[in-house]
Amino acid sequence: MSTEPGAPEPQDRTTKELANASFERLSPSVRIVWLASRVVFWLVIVVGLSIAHGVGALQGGWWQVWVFSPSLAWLIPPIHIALRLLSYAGWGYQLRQWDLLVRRGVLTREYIAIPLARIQQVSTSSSLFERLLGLTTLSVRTAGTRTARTRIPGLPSERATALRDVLSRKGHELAE
Amino acid sequence: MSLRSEEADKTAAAWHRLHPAMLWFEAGRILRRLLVPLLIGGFAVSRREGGFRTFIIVSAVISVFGFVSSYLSFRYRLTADGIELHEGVFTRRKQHIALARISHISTHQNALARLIGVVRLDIATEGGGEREASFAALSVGAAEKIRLHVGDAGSVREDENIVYAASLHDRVLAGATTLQVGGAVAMGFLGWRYMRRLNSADGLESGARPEFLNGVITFVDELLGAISASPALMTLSIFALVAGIWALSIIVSVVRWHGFRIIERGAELHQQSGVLSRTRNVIARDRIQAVEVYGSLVRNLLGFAQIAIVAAGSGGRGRAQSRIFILLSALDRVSDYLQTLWPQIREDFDWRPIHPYHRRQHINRGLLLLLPLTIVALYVVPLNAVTMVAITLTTSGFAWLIWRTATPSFEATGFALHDGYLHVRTGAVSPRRWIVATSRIQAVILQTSLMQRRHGVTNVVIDVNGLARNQHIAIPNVPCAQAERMQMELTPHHAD
Repeated sequence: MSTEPGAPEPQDRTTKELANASFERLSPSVRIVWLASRVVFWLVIVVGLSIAHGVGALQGGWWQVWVFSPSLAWLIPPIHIALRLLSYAGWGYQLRQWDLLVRRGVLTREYIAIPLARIQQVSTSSSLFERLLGLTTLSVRTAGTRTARTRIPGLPSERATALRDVLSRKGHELAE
Repeated sequence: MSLRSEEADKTAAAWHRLHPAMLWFEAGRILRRLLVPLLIGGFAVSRREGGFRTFIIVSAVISVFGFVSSYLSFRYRLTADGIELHEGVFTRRKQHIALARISHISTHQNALARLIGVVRLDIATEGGGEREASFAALSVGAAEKIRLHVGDAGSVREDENIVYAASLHDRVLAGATTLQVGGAVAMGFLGWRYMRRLNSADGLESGARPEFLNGVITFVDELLGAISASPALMTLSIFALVAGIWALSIIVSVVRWHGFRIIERGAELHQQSGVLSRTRNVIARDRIQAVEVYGSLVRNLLGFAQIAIVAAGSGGRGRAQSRIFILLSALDRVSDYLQTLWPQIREDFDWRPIHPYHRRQHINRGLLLLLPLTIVALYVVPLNAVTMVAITLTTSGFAWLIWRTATPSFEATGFALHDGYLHVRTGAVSPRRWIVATSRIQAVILQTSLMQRRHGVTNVVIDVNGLARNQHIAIPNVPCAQAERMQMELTPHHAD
């Protein structure tokens, strides 16, 4: 992380490839949270549809062919879950002197530079499952449209709290 | 003492209510909102169904209770540093909007409201969006007091200058070069056909509908049957339909943009429009984040473009009427209008080109779109020698068009960073230009697909406050090193 006083000015770091920049990664445990949430999501759908099918509510529906036939439709849940797990490789963040750089995405990769001077609000939140694994989600809000709320999930709780305080303090200093 | 502080002193302790006409307008608004569900319900369900009647009664009772309690509980007062609002019966809501946060106010007045002398006033803020607070009905005097309290009172009414007034020529041309009304008519027709199909699938008896409606439906069915029987009549009907929709589009534009004008008053821009329903927006010039200049293929060929403003707090909705700055401008006058918004802006710069990969991306995307359409056509159209030749020729024609427009599209796309403004232009067929005040940039995003990564290029996406959901400021296919440099340059080190 380039937050030390001796860190190079951003203007000087011009030609460095973004892909080679040293990003901090999310906690590996976040994959357990993602896996569990996607599995629960699909279980709810499958159980719901099974009940509806059992009571005869789906008789004759055209979409029944897609849901209850041994077709490619059964591949959707595993692909959906796998994509979420694969997205772990894309996640990263880097606190620089003037901005917070967030990297995300696998197929389409995004590098979001949120200027510290533009931060309106920083907050942390943890679901029950995240708390069990000691994880926290950091949310950064700006007045922008696309970056109105940028989330970094799966941070170790102490790291998230420290980052929240640093961003809040630096944002406040730069806004003055 | 300034007029604003005098006004604040006079009204410091005074709480005000909304105008009683609010009850009438709210009832009308709710009725309008329920109109479509009621019509759909009326068509889809037999009127003898008890459930539907209960739905109407319950909805009416809840709605009446809602707006009466809202009227009784709503209070506001002007304080020295803002506006204070109290509302709610069961859940009390107290809100204080600081004057510094208000990005613009708008008033809206339909024909009936003009007769009674009331207006609806909406306050937009940077954080709260287009309707941070909405006053459903205020007397004209009360609305003017709020406007003076919010705006810089000293500059209002002096130094007035009409920047733009939509002439009949502009309104006709704007209507003649848009497809919005045509799309709405087509959607309406498709919706009607769908509803008819639903009714017949449900076995709904035609007797459940009023007699005159049955007559209309039978007449339309017979007319469609007669037209489809004769190819000549069908061709003529299609031409008549297109001409009718075109004429309708022009009429709607002429009425909709009647009285549209932009008035410059000191640091504010006042936008007025409307014949039946009169709207007035006040935008502080220093709240403008970006300007969009865009034109369709036809408008571009005719040498015209539309100019829209992105102001802080006005995001969320589509390219709404509230953000239109110049309805139709000759291309060579765009610079003059830009200088009205930002007097210090200069356009003596050279455009920087993007990466040539843009050409290949244009062709790839076009062919990717063409391929499924061709497959669908092969499935849908009965195949014989004539249709095969027609599909081959059409596909080849489109492929040629995609290939032919790749280079102009690349050449027309570029960007420039000059004197505190970022200029972006994209597209040859449907050209679009963005001008962003760099001091207003909230974040810079680099977005790279797999293919772009292979070629070492990325899209540079600019985020500002107030963009609508369908608006994206993006420079496509910038070399990665250059993009990262831009990201660094455009990242503000201090808040403004």
